[in-house]
Amino acid sequence: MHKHAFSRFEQFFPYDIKSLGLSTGVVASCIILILLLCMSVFPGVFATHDPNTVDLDNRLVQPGVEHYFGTDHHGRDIYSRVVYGARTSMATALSVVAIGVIVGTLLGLIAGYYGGIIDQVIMRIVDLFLAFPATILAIALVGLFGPSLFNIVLALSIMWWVSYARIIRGVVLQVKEKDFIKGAYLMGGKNRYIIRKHIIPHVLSPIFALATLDVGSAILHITGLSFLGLGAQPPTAEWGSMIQGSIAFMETAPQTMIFPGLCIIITVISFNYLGDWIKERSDPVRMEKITV
Amino acid sequence: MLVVENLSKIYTSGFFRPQDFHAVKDVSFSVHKDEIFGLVGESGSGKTTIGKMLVRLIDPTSGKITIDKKDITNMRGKELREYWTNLQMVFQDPRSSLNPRIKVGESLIEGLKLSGNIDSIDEVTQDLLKSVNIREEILNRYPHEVSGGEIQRIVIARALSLNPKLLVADEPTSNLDMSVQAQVLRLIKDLQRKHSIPCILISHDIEVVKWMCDRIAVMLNGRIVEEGITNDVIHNPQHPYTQDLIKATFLSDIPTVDGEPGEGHSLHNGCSYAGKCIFVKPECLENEIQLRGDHHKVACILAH
Amino acid sequence: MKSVPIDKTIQRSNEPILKVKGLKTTFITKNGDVRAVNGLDFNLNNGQRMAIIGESGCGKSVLAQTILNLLPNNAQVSGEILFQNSAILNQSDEQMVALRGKLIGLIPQHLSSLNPLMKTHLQVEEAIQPDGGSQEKNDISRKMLNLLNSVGLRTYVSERHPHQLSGGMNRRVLISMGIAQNPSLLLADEPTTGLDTILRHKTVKLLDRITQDRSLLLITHDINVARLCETIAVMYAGEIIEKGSAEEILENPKHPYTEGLIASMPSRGMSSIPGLSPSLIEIPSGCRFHPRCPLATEQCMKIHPVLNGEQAGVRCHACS
Repeated sequence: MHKHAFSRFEQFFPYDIKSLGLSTGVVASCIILILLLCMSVFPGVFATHDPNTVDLDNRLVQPGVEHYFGTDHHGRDIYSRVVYGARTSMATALSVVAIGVIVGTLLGLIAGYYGGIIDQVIMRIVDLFLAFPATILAIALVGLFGPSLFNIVLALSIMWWVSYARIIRGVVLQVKEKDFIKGAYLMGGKNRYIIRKHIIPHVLSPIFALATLDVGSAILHITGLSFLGLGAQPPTAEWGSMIQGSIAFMETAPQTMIFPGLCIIITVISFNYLGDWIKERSDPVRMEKITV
Repeated sequence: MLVVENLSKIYTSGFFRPQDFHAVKDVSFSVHKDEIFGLVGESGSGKTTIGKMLVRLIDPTSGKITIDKKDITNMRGKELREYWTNLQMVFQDPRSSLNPRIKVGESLIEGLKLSGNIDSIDEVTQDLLKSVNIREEILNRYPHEVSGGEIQRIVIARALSLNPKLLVADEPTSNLDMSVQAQVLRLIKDLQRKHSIPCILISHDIEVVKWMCDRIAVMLNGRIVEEGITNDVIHNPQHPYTQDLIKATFLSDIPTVDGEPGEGHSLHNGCSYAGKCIFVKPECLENEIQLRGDHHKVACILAH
Repeated sequence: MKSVPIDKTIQRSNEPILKVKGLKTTFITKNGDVRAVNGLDFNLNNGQRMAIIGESGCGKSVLAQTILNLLPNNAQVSGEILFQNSAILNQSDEQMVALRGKLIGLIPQHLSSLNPLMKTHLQVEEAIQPDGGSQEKNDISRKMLNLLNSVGLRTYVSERHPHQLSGGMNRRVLISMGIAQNPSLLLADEPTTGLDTILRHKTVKLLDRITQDRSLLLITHDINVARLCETIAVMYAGEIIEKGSAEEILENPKHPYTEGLIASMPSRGMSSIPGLSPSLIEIPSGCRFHPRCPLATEQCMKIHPVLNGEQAGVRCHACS
């Protein structure tokens, strides 16, 4: 047990940096993700060309100094399109996950904390959604409202909150039984105070871990649907639709599909790596070992 | 003053063939504001369930709890939430009695803050610290960086900071080392005397109860089998179960019939100890034996 | 309070069954080296029963794990442990397997040592014959039932899963498994944790009965349980600070810590020892008890006292 007083830094970050178990993989994932985030926020800084300028004189150019990743069948710079594609893919994936987290956490908290009828109603709705395949719903919605990224985000978000609601409810049920929650009742805490002060801090780390893991899967869903032509519409740069556009030239100009494909793979792996690491850290038993 | 009348708690389990489990059965007692009342019994005897019902963390199935002539049995919602600060409990496991993500100091003044009593909070904190003999530097730590004994003292301090009308201590020292146990128990005793509030001490340890309590009740399978002034009960136990419990505490021989407590109890309606009692008579198996007597109450046919 | 006289008439030879010399167990962690066992010496004679008492964090449970070589990988052990005059420290896994259960039985602290998916009879049978040996199946089941009966369990218990049995019954199943192969030395690590008064009493009686003809090393924090043994050693911050006959330790403790520990029992006045047990990472200089000791002098802060005496002794400047 530590006997020394806590410094200011440790108050905010009570863990020993060395004990965080940062592996090369985690550091690499972080760097890649930060880079991707910068790309999506300031694509202009990274891109060398306008992603949508058609240059029919320079079609299917091999990768080189002028065009890092070469050009596609319209003569557009693949590197710049990948950079702008990062923006589309990240933005859509993050919105799907964010909407899912917010809705799911809220409903999961309410269901787990209040229990009874409210819990029953919410969990039956969850069961209903779980019984419906997400991709099919997305295809149906897009069929109804027309293909667009917005509709894809909408369709995926409708499905996405369900798993959060279930997991958060489970965590809340566990935390609710702890003595310190009972103590908080006796201290005169109102329900909203107890949820905010005592329950939410305990559900944050599992949410964060799950959300990170899920961004990768959201990217896969979105690029997959875009590949099917249901998402991003031409000429918007998006990794999935870029691959779809390249199908005809796969053999003659493989750069048209290799680079967006690689981006998807690297991004998804990075998110998974980071998510796994966060998940491991947020395990309270392990946390105890690290901090004690 | 706390008055408990015919308190019961029944849990129903099973979906197709619901079965009732009487965790607490028809328990009555009263505790004056200047005394510590001990509930003694083995694990599963229902003593913790009673404690939690008294502070209304569990709803009683039937019976009545009154504090200072106010019936609190059926309080619900807002009324209960506002009354809750009057009912305080010290939990068994110091590791889970404080939120692990909140600093000890913040937990200590949580109740005062919530009651809007924030003007003199620094002074009050100092007083609280002094009353439980805790160094100020501990306030800046997280619960896992503080010893179990210190956490229990903090929990006691914050419970008493709200001037409650009832204090329930549920095995407050059973997870602590022997050399720390005394500090915590002394503290409870001193503060109870100082604040003069009714206090219930739940324990399986006769020695602790003997040292702490003015009166005790011995529980077995959800019922009180013997109740009285501590010295009377411990030096002159009437119920065979109490006798065995006391002998077991001091590790002398107990001539019980082999078996587990409560084993075979469901087979008859009589005394729960009949299956293990060496004085058992046919009448013991027929009807439940009521708690009888004036000051020293016993639920045994032999005692009267 | 008077203790029950326990029959100690059986022959106790002076031949040590277990010799521990200068034993040190250190865990290498990120926060520093945890010196859980820090220079331990004692002899356990054949047929003798010895209790190691101490509070949480004094290293007593690590001692049991060290003897049976059950430590995690970050542990470093030095010193000597002789069992029946052969060194057992740092032996290979195969050699330890031959030793565990057959010669040294263990009663573990936690009921989680029982496999929740296995019926009791399977677990006890496995303890009787762990390696699929040549014994007849009928023989084993007969032995299993005898064992269960010998610890006071009825036959039906053998067909139950651990969750269908009470804590006290599971504890007895663990005890029966500890003595399944009739070991000559029994290690009991906190065998009464989580038991209430009557069950604790029964467990102590049972331990007393099954150790009439074997040696026992009992690790406990409960002084009342330690009474069962003839000798008691008191551990503090990884070392023995006092040892002697049970009666001597309980009635006439010499070390200020032992005195404080006994005085903290409710029946002995319930006074507490000021301060906290030291962290095993930063062990106090000199006498390890000096920061909490009412008798501490300058000498105590500087010089680490030695444990004087073979059979009985105390590690204290003030009282030796």
